[in-house]
Amino acid sequence: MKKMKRQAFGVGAAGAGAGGVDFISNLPEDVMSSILGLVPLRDAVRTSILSKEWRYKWVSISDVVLNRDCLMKKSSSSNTFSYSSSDDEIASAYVLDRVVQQLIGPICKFSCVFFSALVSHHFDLWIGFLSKNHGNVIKEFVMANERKIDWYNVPHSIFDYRELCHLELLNCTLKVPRTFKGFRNLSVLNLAAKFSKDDIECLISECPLLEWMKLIAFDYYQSLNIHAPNLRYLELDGEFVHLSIEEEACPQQLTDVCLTSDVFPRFWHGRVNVPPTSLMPFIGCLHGIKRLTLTEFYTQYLCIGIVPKNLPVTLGHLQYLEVELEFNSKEILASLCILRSSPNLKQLKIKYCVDSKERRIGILPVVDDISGGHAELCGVETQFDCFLSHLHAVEIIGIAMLSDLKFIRCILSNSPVLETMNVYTNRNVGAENVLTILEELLRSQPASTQAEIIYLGHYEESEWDYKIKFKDPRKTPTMIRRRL
Amino acid sequence: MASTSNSTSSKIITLRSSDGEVFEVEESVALESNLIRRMMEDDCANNIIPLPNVTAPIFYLVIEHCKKHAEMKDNKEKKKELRSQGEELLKSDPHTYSNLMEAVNYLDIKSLMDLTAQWLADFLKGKSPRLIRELLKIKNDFTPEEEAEILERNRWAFD
Repeated sequence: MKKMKRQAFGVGAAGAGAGGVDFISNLPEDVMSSILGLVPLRDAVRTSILSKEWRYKWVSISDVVLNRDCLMKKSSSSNTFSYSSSDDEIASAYVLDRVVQQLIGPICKFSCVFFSALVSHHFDLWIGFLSKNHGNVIKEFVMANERKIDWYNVPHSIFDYRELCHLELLNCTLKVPRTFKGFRNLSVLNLAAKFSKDDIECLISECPLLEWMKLIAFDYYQSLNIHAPNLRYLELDGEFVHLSIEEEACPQQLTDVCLTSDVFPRFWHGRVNVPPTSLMPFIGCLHGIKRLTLTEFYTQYLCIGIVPKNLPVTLGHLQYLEVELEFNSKEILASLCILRSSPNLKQLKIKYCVDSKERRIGILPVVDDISGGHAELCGVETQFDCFLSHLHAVEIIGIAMLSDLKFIRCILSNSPVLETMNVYTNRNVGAENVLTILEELLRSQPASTQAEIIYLGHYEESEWDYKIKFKDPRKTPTMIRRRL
Repeated sequence: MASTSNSTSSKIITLRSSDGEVFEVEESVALESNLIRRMMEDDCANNIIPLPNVTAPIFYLVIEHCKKHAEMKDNKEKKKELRSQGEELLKSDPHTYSNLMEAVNYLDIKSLMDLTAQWLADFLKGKSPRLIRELLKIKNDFTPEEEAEILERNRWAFD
């Protein structure tokens, strides 16, 4: 909420405790406009009928939140994932045309999360209105096109919102105009968009205070060089030919990095002229990193070519590492490379791909033999030469095969201060096989005398995880709230 | 001014309400108020800090909620509980609510501002205009014609 300016007191001082006096109507104006900004738009508009005093209170709301629920009789608290029909949507858009034009603001936050590009000319209208009347004060702008059928072309006028601190554009096409002079105050940027290399690099480098960035790059597949000297949190989802962060721009500040890709590297062979190169060097320049998360197929991008034994630098601050592995020894090698370079790691989470059905189901009884077979994997045992002297918590998700245990055993026998290892099995593993896996696991010899191995059942992906997979913009976690 | 607000050796700040009552408050609590913080930074607060716009009963409420708010950090249950208290207060005593709101606004306490604003917002959600008027003692001073015009302007909201 915006900071309130102080106002004279003394309203309602007359007749303290008197039963029939209206004390609420005279709350300071700026307080009231903040309050009405917290109410769904429909309820805010309805206050105009209360009395003359209330007639125009709602039009000065500073936080404008437009979504499917804001027009409804009851804001649906359920998380049902129903789409309104396009007729409903168009009707709502026309209603909002009239609503938006009644607003006098000053509008600090404008959020529009719904509608497909079916009604994109209404978006244009609202953004146009906003630019004309509130462009100089707006601090937070959120626009999410819910369906990725058509991509909404973001109008250039948003690049004139010089005071923006927080920008989210989801499922849009973004072109940065040549006249763009930068967002000098922008600290949060969340983009799920189609954009060109030049546009995105220009946008990032013109936001000197950028601290939090999430980027979902659709159909990108180019190189990306990030220049953001104040970046603390980085989340990248997409495929990059080459990824780099400017040396001077990645000091100790960047502590939290999350990298993901839902396309495996093999996909690109034969489809593009330049096949992807290993992104391990990128990991190698994250000097100050404390938390590193590599999900979906991202670990595979670290395995292209020869996996180095060590990173070029020691990740001395790394405390939390999360990797997702397919059944593939090279991914284990990549994880090992990071582990060897992270002497102070405290927490480790390993997730075996849960949904890769053909490869993970039913293999157990026939092929999967812990005593022999997978020559490559056997190599892991000898390669596991790192000592995890600070590791105290491990989580293993989605074990499906006995051979998964090789890596896990190595971790157990090299972690002298381990306290807990939580284990989940893949939900497709039958009860008998779970028993076999657990029996084997309990036969391991942990280096730590206090290590507890806790079996927590099958791993069920939460609904939230599931939605994230489909990149539903509404489920993009709300980021750190900044005081605007 | 160095503010070493340690829970063991917390400094005590003395404040005086508009009706002359004197309060002793731990510095860490008092500094929740940006107004008091500014006064202390400006060093015009060597002795007793006067709060000419806040009465003693309301100041008690403010302090109580400041403490509650500090307790509920990272406690979802408590957060919920505190958020739900507004409905009752607004129904039973809108006058105290408005006094509290104004005091919080005057003292510039961000956390309580968010809370008390949320109380009224939650209260307004989903209620009919008739019920809101009745509970908050708002007098409908529109003529039937004016009322019809307002309804017409944003008909969708009143269906």
